Amino acid sequence: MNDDFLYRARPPLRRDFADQLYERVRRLPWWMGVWGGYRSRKLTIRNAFLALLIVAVAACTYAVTTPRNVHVDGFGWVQEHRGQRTLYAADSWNSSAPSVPSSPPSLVSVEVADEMLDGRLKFPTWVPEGYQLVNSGLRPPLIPSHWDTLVTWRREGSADGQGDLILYLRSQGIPPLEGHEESYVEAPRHRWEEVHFRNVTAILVKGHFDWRSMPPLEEWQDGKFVIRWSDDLGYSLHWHEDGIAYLLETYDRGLLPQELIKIAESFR
Amino acid sequence: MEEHQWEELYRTLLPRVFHYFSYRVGSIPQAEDLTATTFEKAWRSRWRFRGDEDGFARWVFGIARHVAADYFRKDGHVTLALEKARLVDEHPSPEEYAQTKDDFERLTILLQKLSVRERELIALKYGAGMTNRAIAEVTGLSESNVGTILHRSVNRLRLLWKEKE
Repeated sequence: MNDDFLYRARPPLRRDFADQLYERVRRLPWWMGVWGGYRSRKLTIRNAFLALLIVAVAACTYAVTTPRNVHVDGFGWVQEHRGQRTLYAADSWNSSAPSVPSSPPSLVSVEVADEMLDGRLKFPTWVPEGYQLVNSGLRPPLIPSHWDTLVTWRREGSADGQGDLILYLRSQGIPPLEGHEESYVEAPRHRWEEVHFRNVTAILVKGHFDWRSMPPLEEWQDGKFVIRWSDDLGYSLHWHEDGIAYLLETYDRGLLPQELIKIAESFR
Repeated sequence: MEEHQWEELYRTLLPRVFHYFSYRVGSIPQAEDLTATTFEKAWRSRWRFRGDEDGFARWVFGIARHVAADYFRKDGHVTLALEKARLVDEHPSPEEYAQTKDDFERLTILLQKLSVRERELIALKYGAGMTNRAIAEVTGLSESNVGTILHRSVNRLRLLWKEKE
C-alpha cells in the first residue's frame, strides 16, 4: 500500500449521478434556504414586532462589534479600518491577499480575538524586511482541539507556501511544549533546543517532519513509529505565554533561527 | 457567481467531494446522498461566498465537513457502514472495476480502525486530493501536524493491510 494505491482505491463516480445532481441543483429556486423558512410564518403584529426587534439588535451588535482591519507596515500593526466582517490584508497595500470564504469557518479580527482573550493576545511588532502579511483570518477560540488562529506572512517573490511564515495560536486545550502528538513539537530530542526571551522559555525546532513523501515500512522499528525529519525545511518556535500557545512556523530556508527568535521577542 | 463558473467548479469539485465522503462513510449510496446534500447547500448559499476558485473549494469542503458531522451525529454512525454497493462507471474495464471495488471494500474495513480525525485527514488527502496546506486551512490543524498524522495513519493502514494478507 502506498500513496498511489490510496488514490486508486477511490470508487468511481457514476456519470448519471453527476448529471442528475447537476440538474437537480440547478432547478432549486435561488431563494430556497434564504426565504423558505420564513414563508410559512403568518404575518401578525407580534411576528412583525419580533422581526423588527431582531433587526434592531443585529444592527446594534454590528455597529458595536464590527472588526477592524490591521496590517503590518514594516515594523508594526499600524493600520485599522472599520467596516468589514473579516480581516485581511488591506487592499491599498496588498491587492493579492488571498480570499477566505466568509463561512465557514467564521473569522474575526485580531482585536476581537484579543478581546475574547481578555487582552492577553500578543502579535509581532517586527518581521524581517520583505515579508508581507497575506492572510490574517482568525478563528474564534472556540474549538479546544484546534490551533485557533492563523496569520501568514509571505516573503516577496517566493513561490506559494515556500516562503511562508505562519503564526498559529491556541487558547484552549493547550498541549505541553514537548512530547505530545498534538503539540507539533514531536521532534526527536536532538532536533530541538530551549531558547529564552522576554522571560519566556521556548522550544526551537530544527527542520520539519518531512511529509513530501511517505517513508517505507521500515520506519516502524521494534513496533515503534519513527518519524523522518528533514533539515532543509526551515525552523519553528513554540512557546506558551499568558495562557496562550504560540507556534511560529516557516518552511522558508532563508529565514534564520535568530530572526525567528527576534520576531518572537517583538511580540507585544 | 455566474452560472458558467458554477458549472465549471461543479465538474471539478464533484468527484473530490464524492471521494471524500466515500472514504469517510465507506458506503457509495451514502456518499452520493451526502455529496448531493453538500452541493445543494452550496448552491443555496452561493451568494454568501466571495473569493477565488481555491477559496470556493475550501468553502465547499467546509460545508462537506459539516454535512459529515451531521450525518455521524444525527444517525449515530460511529463506525463505517460497509455496504455491497454496486459501482457503475462507463470507463473502467470489468477487471479494473472489480479490483477497485475489492480494494475499496478492504480499505473501508481498515479505515474503521483509525480514529475519527485520522479518517477525516485520510479522506481529505486521498479522497478529496487536497494538499497538506489546504487540509490545514480547512481543519485548523497546523500543516506539520497534518503531515505527521497522515504519515502515522498511512503507516498504520499499511501494517493492517499486511496483516490481512
